[in-house]
Amino acid sequence: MKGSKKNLAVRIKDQAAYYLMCAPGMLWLFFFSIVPMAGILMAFQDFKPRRGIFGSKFVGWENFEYLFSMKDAQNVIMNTIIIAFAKIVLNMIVPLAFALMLNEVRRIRFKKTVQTIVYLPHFLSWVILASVMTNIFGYDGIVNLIGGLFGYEKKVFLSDAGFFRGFIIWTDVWKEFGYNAVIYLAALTGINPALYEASAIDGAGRWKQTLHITLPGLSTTVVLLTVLALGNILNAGFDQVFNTYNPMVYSTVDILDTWVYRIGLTKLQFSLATAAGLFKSVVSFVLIVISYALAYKFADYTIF
Amino acid sequence: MKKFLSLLLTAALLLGLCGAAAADEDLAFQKFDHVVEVHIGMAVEPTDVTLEDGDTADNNYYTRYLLDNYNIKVVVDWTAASGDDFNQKVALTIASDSLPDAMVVSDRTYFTAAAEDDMLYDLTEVFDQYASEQVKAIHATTAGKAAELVTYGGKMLALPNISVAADGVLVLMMQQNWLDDLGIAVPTTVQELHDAAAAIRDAKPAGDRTIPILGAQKDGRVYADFLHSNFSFGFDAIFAAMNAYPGYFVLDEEGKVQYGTLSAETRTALETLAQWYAEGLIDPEFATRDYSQDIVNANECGFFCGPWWALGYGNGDSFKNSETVDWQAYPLFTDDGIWNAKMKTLGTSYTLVNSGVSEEVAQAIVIMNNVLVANESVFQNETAEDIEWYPLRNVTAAMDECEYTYKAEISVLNGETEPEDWQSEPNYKLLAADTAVVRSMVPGYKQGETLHRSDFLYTPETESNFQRQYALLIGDRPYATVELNNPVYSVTYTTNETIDRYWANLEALEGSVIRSIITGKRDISAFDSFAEQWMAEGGDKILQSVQEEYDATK
Amino acid sequence: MIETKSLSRRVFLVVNTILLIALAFSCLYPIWYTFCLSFSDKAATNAGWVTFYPIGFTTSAYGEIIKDQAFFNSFLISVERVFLGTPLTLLIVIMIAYPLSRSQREFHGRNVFMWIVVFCMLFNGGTIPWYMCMKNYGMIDNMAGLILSCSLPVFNVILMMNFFRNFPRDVEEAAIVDGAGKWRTLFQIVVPCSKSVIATITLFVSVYYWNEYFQGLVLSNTESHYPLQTYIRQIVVSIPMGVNLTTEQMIKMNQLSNKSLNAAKVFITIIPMLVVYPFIQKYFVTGIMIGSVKE
Repeated sequence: MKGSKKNLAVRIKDQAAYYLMCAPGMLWLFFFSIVPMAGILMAFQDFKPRRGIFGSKFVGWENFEYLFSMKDAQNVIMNTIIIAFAKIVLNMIVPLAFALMLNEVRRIRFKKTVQTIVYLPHFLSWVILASVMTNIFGYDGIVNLIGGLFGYEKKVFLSDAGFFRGFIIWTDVWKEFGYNAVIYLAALTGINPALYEASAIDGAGRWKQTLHITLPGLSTTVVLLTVLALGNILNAGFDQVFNTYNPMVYSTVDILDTWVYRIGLTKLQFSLATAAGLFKSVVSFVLIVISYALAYKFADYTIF
Repeated sequence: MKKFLSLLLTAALLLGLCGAAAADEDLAFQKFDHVVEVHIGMAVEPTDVTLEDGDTADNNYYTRYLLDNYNIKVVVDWTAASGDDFNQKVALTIASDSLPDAMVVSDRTYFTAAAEDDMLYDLTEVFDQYASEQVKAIHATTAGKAAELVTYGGKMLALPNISVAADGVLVLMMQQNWLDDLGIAVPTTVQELHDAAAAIRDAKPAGDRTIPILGAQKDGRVYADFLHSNFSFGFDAIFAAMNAYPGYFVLDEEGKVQYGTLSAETRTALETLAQWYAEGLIDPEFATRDYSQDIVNANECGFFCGPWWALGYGNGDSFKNSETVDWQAYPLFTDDGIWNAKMKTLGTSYTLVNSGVSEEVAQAIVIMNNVLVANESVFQNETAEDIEWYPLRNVTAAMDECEYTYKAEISVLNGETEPEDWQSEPNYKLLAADTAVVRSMVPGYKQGETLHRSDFLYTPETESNFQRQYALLIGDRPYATVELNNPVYSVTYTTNETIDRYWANLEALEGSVIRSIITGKRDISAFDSFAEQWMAEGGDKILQSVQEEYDATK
Repeated sequence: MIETKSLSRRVFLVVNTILLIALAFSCLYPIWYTFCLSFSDKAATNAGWVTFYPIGFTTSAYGEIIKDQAFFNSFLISVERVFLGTPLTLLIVIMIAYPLSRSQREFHGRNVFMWIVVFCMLFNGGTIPWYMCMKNYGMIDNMAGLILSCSLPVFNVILMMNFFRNFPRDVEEAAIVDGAGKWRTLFQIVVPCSKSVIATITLFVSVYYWNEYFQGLVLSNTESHYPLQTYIRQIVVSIPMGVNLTTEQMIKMNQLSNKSLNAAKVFITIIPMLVVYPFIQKYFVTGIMIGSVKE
């Protein structure tokens, strides 16, 4: 008994260093994340700035009821889910295809060069890319110029709500595919070369090898990444949409985050905006917990 | 005779007021015996380059003037680019209950939100004691509307913006030289406008870049509404010529409040505009273009709608870019020859004063406004620094300033009066300067003949005078000379609690539906479902609340 | 490679190569296009004639930038933000990731802390309460605010934590046997052996600081204190609206927008990335691999 008590004391002293190491990060979180979370209360209030968060009147679920009764909000939530879902799926498939294609290349320098180039867009901000994209897809941009050479009429792409949703999705895929491929390329190097040699002896072509060896070899990674992406289903990309959209295309690309920004910070509907933000956080949190559990159960994988 | 009468009237008005409160004039321009600091938030133009080297937002000609003459020291707590960035800052200061001593906000939403939450200083007494006679006289020209606009809960909680009425009357602007080249008369009806635009489309006077009718830019408005006016590129003149008043609350025959956007006339007008868009008469980049003004400046469009200042002031570069371009302004009539026009409210900006300021600071803020109104025209001669740098600048101008000036100038040009006759009318702060230069600025004037660009003196040195005179004598000519048969006022120009609650959503909905109908992204049946949705999502409650307010005033 | 290639295989390889080149081209072209715009004549740019090379070659846009004080201010602010913010963030991330990489048995607070970290990643009170806090901390309109505002980059913590988890235990244990404490083990044994992941996170964090625009917009009190991306956003993305502006403001908007100049500013903003990135990217592949895939 005595011994273990002493052990405990030693252990705590022993672990003090760990606590100290965590301290700066935890303090940072406390001041810049946790304290502002008091603002979540606004979602249940008729928030009046002068009365403050602790003095405003509580209204229960009223803001949420109003939120979900608004067609606008329903539309925004649908947009968010559609865009986020499309991004999740395509950000899985396109980088995978790209990784497989790159894997077929035997010239190392070519491979390295391509790889280096395609990571690049990942590191450019949406502020920059939005302005570049507007130049490219604008009425006087190069897309219309080239279209004109082939006899197409000039189009105003950026006002076309139907076009814009795809535009948002595909430019995101384009920006991230190189970066997202890194993990697949890593997993590819992990596949045992002996498997390929064996199947080559069996007379299997590259195509068959891809189908029967490469893809199964990647399946764990794919499943894992998909599951982990679940938590992003309401994360459709604020920076991207905020910097590229315009009122003409609200109907298809206005997402929760941009909507919250607008009603909160230009229309002063503080409580409604907070309610919508909280809704997003709760859904994301639940999904993350589920995906964490799934990943742990089926792949024995702990991310955190 | 008419002129004489109005002179007499003004004089009488002024005399009366001066007699009543002559002593107060000392307070209105008093110099504090110690320095009073006023902390403000300010919208700035990032592109402005008029500040002298070393000058800043709170150390420039105007702030030094205020400090030297009135002991008012302006401290700029924060600035942001006018538009969204500035609005975001305003929203944050309201949300965090940290208003600066004063700021000028550009949307009524901010005024009501701050007022509702008791953040604003009760200016009732301070204004009464410290506002200059000139400011009060200008307020008086609005027949109580100015006071009504800034009164909340029985108190005066802001200084209003009073801008000239002509700011809100959108007329049809056109490149007369194109019409002349094509042998087309000035269109006066919607059908004639269509035909003229079609002729321009086919003739392509500006080559492939020709745009017959220019419309709203990205984030621009398709028409003025009860909260927003005074901008170019709305289609208001066209809507009005088809008896449609979208964006306004109007009364139907039975005295019931209706929302103009939902009317059958608006529906028809939208169908027409969609048709025009499909025919290539309206800018293909309608509502996505970055700057519609670029097209006007490049003289690449035939028509657009704008208020008086859209010519001259508004398109100064047009004249730089072409020596022959001849922009003209005319009203557009209904098929029955009626000129309808939506009329704007007084102004859309508000000077908000923090409820926590000391009485001295509140006095200083009222005095700053007095000084601006009294000396605006003087400042412009004394410094090249743009008047926008004047702290807490919130335009206060007599509502009929443009028309009054127009008539004075024409009478000077005709030789009926002399510039000296117009030197002492404080309500019209630029009148003296305007009448003094008009003869030299318009050497080509012939009595009874329409003015053209070639009649004006245009040199780099006279450019600013040219712009103003062009705006007054051509831009404002329709409103100053043609009888406006049917001025249309909105039942309300302010929001109430119900409107505040639903408007953000409805406004966004309306904007996107209207744009997509015009551009043919959705057909006109979208209008009907929009009308239903508008009602269902709070529109019916809004109509009811406006009706109740209206009935209460009857 | 002694592989006899069938016809279909050869066709595939050719098509594959072409596709890969096309993809790589698509990633480079926007930057090249911006480059061309910035060196083109203003008129050609606005008319949309520029495609694959500058038209009416001129350096006038860059000449104008040299005189543009506001641009340089913002540039310097961003540089300062990156150079002050990155080391600080890196240090904090390393220090919190190391204990979190221990098992619950080794470090009792581990799971609780981990959940707090994840919770903070997902929940926030919204912009307004956050702004009020920043105001109370006195972090409006200063460098401290710009650096501390972006809360802990949780993704990077997880990356580094996973890296540390895979760190060979025997090395650490050997250090402890030698009498090294936890601090010394971390900073003298573990960190020097983690070059790739540290390089990766340095890249991520500095890119984050360089690219951040929103907090710059909310926290700065004047445009001359904007970081570069906020400045760029103000000139190229946010459009002054044709509503609610005074007559004078409307009039001022009538000056022609200058796409060439804007493109030059955008290009200069990209340059630091183009310069630094090739050196770091070789680390980042290994860094992200080890960090994200548990072996």
